[in-house]
Amino acid sequence: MKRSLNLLSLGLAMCFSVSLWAQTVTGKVTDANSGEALPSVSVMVASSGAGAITDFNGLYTIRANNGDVLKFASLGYDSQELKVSGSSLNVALTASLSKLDEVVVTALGFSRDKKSVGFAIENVDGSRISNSGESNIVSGISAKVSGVQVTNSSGAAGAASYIKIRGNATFTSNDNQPLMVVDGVPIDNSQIGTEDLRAGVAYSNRAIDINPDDIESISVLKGGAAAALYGTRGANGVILITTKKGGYGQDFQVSVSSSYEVSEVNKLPQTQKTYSQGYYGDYYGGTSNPFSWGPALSTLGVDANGDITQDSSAAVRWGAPSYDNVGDFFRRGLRRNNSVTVSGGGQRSSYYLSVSNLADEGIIPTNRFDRTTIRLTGSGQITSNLKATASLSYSNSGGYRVQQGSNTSGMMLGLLRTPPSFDNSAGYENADGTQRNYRAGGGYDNPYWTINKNPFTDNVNRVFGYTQLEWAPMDNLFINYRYGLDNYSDVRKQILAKYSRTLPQGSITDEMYSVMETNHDLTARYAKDFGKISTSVLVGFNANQRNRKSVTGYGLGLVIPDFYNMSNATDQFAYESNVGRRLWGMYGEAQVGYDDFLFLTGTMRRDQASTFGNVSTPIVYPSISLGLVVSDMINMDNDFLTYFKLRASSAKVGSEPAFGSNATYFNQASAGSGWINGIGFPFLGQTGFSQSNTLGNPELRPEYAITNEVGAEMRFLKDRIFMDVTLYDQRSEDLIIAVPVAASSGFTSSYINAGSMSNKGIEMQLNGDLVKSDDLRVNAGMTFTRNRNTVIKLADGVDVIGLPWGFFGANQRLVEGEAYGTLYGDDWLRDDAGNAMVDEFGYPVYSSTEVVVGNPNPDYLMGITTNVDYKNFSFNMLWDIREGGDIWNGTRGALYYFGTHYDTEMTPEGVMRGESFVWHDVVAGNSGVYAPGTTIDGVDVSGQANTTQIIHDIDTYAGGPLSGFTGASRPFIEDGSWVRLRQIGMSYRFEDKVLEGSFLKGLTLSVTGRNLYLSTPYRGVDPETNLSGATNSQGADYFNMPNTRGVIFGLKANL
Amino acid sequence: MKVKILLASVFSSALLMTSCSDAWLEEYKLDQNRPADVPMNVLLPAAQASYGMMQGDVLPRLSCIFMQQMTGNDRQSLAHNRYAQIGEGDFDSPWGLAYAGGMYDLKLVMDKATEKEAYSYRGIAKIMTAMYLGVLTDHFGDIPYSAALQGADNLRSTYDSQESIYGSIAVLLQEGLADLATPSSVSPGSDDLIHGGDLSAWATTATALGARYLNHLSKTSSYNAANVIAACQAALQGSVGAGLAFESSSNQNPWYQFTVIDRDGYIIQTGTMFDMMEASSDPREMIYRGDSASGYFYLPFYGAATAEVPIITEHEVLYILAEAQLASGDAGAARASLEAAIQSNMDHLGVDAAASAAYIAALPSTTDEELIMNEKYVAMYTHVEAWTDWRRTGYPMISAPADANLSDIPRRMPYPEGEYLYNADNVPMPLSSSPDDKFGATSTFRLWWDAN
Repeated sequence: MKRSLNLLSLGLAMCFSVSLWAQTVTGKVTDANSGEALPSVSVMVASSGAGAITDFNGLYTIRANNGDVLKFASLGYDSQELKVSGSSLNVALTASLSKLDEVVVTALGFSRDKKSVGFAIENVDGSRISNSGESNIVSGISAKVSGVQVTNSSGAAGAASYIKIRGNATFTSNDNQPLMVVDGVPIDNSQIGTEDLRAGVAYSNRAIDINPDDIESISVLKGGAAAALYGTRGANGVILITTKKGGYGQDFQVSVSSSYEVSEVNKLPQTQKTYSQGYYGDYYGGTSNPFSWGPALSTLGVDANGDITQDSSAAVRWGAPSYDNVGDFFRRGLRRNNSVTVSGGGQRSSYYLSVSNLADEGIIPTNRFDRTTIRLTGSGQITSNLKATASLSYSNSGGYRVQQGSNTSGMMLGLLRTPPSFDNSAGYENADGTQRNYRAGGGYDNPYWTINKNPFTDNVNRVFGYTQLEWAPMDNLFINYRYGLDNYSDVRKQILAKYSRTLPQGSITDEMYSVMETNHDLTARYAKDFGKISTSVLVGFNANQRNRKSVTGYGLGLVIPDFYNMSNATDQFAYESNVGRRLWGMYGEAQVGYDDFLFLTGTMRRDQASTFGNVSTPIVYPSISLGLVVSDMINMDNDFLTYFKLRASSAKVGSEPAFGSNATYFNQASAGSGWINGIGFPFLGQTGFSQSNTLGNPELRPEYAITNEVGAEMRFLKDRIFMDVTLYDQRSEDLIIAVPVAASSGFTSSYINAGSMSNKGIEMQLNGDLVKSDDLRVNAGMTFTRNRNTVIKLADGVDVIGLPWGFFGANQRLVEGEAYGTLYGDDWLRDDAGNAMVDEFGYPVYSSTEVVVGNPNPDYLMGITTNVDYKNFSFNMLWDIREGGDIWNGTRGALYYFGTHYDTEMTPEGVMRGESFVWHDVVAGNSGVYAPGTTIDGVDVSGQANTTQIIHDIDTYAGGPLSGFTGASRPFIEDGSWVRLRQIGMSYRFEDKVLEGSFLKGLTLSVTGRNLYLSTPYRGVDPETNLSGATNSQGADYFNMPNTRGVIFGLKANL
Repeated sequence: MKVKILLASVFSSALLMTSCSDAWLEEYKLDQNRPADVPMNVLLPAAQASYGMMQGDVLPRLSCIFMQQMTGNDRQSLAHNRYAQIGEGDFDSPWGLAYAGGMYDLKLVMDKATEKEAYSYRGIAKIMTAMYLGVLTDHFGDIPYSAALQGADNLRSTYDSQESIYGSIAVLLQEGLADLATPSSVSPGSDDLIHGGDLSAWATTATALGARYLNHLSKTSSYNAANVIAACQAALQGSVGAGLAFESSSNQNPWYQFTVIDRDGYIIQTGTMFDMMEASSDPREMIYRGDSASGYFYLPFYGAATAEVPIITEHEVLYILAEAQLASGDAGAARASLEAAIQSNMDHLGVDAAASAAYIAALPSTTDEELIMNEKYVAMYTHVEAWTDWRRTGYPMISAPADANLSDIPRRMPYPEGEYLYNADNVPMPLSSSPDDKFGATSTFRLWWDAN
């Protein structure tokens, strides 16, 4: 690294010997009607693409030469182009009928006129993210951008959100989430798990460290051509975040933003409150009996001690109490978010400073997430043509998290399994320190025990930012050097108290992660117009290094109660991990424009990566894109279709192999069998290493994704209606797989380039001003996303690759011809017509063969927005629609076994507990047919329709095949479609004249409802949920934490 | 002009950076968590631990149920009583522990030891490879060896006949003994989990194993009782006894992990063997399974947390000696060896002297094969040798339960699923074989040494 830094400075020093040109142009942009200053206006040098944005006071500063054309563009205003003459240029913009001449931020942070872009790119204004009230910017993007799917893994405070652009581009060797870039600097967005992600706690994805109030705008680069310059890391698209900055000459300004959200659980599985612990007519309260198949509470008595009894001689009164354990457990969540921003600028300098604090007390008692951020950005002219910028964000985040999922200490697991005859809240700890729960200390943790006694705390300290030198040594030439840094430590402590069900001897896990990423980027850009032809050429270099180190101490067997230091553990273990990778890339881009209606862009990138067997192996891939503004080409003068642009692009993007696959290493030895843990080294005081069972491959080639994309952008009715449609076809090739091999070779798998996968889809945006007058503006918009993923090929001799975090009976797989992550599970035995086979007792016949049972990928996604501005009132609404996307409701399956699900009291068809009914197959929609060879009363009924009655009681569920534990998983695969009102809000902006004379320069008050309405056929918690969080394995619900809805009261003021 | 100078300077610095980039990337090429090469003294204990798990986990649980020394009581183990729910996939684990685990590591030890002239390491690696081959071939018959363990050079290994595997075992043991006797540049110490670097103990173990595998040929034409007797006597010159010990709080004995930690209640210590022991008031019964109050779920001796997985024992060698002496017509010597074997076994188990003397005194006076083999059957509890002995001699006289899935007690294990999926052309038995064939319940698919 040092070496390349020296080289960079050498290169720069050599350049300094050249004389200096160009000048700084400043000015103010105002509204042509009102004369008010216009903030956030894009200012761009047309020839070079160099850009600036006006500050709160409408002021801008940009480097340009006399004669250059500056382009001013802002949402809702007509763009203007003006020639530079002198160092000052003021502009008044006229309000337009629709948002038109947008300037978009493209790869590497360059602003480009949207008109000239030949690929799909979508911008989201920062205020739309911060107004969503989400503390995680990924969640803030939900339903706002076409082609993007966001999944919040749960409503736990600090829980991760998963984002995917245009489906999955790779199998398992890399993340399928897009690259996150802040002001040109890639940042880490990983979700690090301490435990198996099916259990443990709800971890954060690290984009949560960004303060949403710092965001000026987000630009989503969706396809290969858009992201091609990011190289291997842009293969899944890029989320480009531009932060707010101060402006030259800007007055000192203070903004304050404050919001309070009150939230509650939005949806829970329905439980029964009628039947007691026990089975077969007998009450077994507070015993190891796990079931709620006991007598009705109304038939039980209460004895002199207040305990429930079935003994009539002991009962002092009849009718046992029913405890609403689930309803009583959750609390009101309270989220407070406060931020203060200070910005301004001198003649040749600017600064931006923000401080924010988030305190999120979740709906689960004790669960909380806190975040404090500080961001400082300053820039100044060193000389008239050399600008330096430095930006640094510090964030401290972390919380108190609660055990979840498939985990006997999981909060929901213990909560939902508790019979209504047992009161969890009447104490979770016995006098002797043992646990009080409904199973006499066995089974699962009392939810109050786990939230109080098993804390998981994390504390992340993170610094990310950059320093940048922008130099214009001569006319039309711009040189930019940027050093980007992202560094955080994550200190975690997980405690499982003694007598916790997961580990009755108790344990402590102390983890320390250190994550570091650095980037050096050097770019040179030259732009020049020749008559009607405009050209620009860019060359760039990137050196990237990523490190992740972790040290874990694990203490097992705690002796002193409630003392959680490693010294208290009878057995202590330590683990270490280091992952490091480097990437070296060169890239170039050439743009040619003709007469402002035809634009052709070509890019080429060449990467070398440390994860190849031969690091000299270059990955080279090109892209080409074309934008044709038909309406300008033919001078179309048409009031109906006012603007019509076609675009087409084709791109190839490569990815390097996963870390550690380029060689065959030696692993710390272990020997197990799946039946028992076996042996792990160190063993008997010795260190042991064994050759890895996976053959590394130094010959691995890059994976490639080839995207072809066409799109059209249209505006109708004098630009009042805007429409954008994109069709794409992406094919991933040479995907790297660890293919299984016969163990007799000495190995069990071997890395090869083999797989291929396809994503095809359509994205659409529609937006229009329905009403537009001086006082009233009604705008409606829609985004539509549809992606079809197909795994085309795995490898010769490989039929299935399982994704991590599955269960037997419900797991996500890659299978040829199916979509990524298709749910596999067990089903009933079926005849050729698909009818379930039923036995002589009326029960469906179980088949252990796992088959396709669902597809977790949605059919389509839709977001519908409405904005109404009336005078100073503003109203907005965002509907989020998801059609399809199957989820395994493993929670319901388990609760059928235990008898706590409401269906065990009364089925959706109205069958009460104890009544008889004929089993119904949800798949074929009938009652099945008798299996071959079935005889009833001596008559062979094979193939006939099933009419045998079964009883709605324990023998059918825990004792029969109709629970998730005892039969097929197929009946528990549910449709995860939804229609939700993701956001509804109202705000009022005080008139300037009202504030006149006060210290306030602006004041806006708002009330926003978040997730207030949800309509879904899904029968568990909110279907926007995923057991393993932000991972490639989606569509699993096994005692997932519930989601929330809330009302946010907000205030924004300028001082 | 200025443009040219500028561009030249930018490109020249870029080119300089590019030329350095390979070295810069090279620094990060390797996984820092895992070594690209390791010395013999960490490979050897790994190969020994894998051996302990291969011999002591999946395989003996099945063969002990086959031999009615244990009984399945819950879940899959319950079905195992009927030889049901045993699939090819169950054998990927022991097969992987052997080939992709210990045997590959031992091959690396042999290569390194040859290079470093560390003949004691090489000798142990050869003896251990013979141990692996012995367990595998006695379960599966023909297995890959001469073309196996070649990694990317040959992902689809052919199979060697069991006869040639037995030849390889003999060669490996002989070469191993020769290596142990050769001056070595470096020798193992505590990294040898089996003998702590005691080379003479290894020589005794190799000699004893040689006796065992010669004795396995009793049904074949190449059986020679005199050779077996000689090998036993040579082994008994030393102190026979080899096993792999375990830890108390983690990494416990595989029986302990199965019966106490992970699969409590799956198997129970009842069956024909315990019926025989009750009939003869065998003092080992309590030591084997505790009293009835324990529910017989546990193995107090062989399944204690730190108990050894026995590789070869003095009593086994004495039983082999007795069997060979009887076969050579010397019933008197056989009787003495049998009594010594019982005494040795009871001493090993901690039976008090009076009880063992009483037990030996109560033995039938006629020394025949059935007596020797029935006694050995009780002594080889938890060890695969009991199944091998039954296949060779037919003792004890047991038969399959009435509800069994097969026509007879299994005489081999099916090949692993991984071989059928990824090396199908070479597996000597078609995947579609009948269950009887897969388990050798028909004579067609008996192992070579079991063929008649």
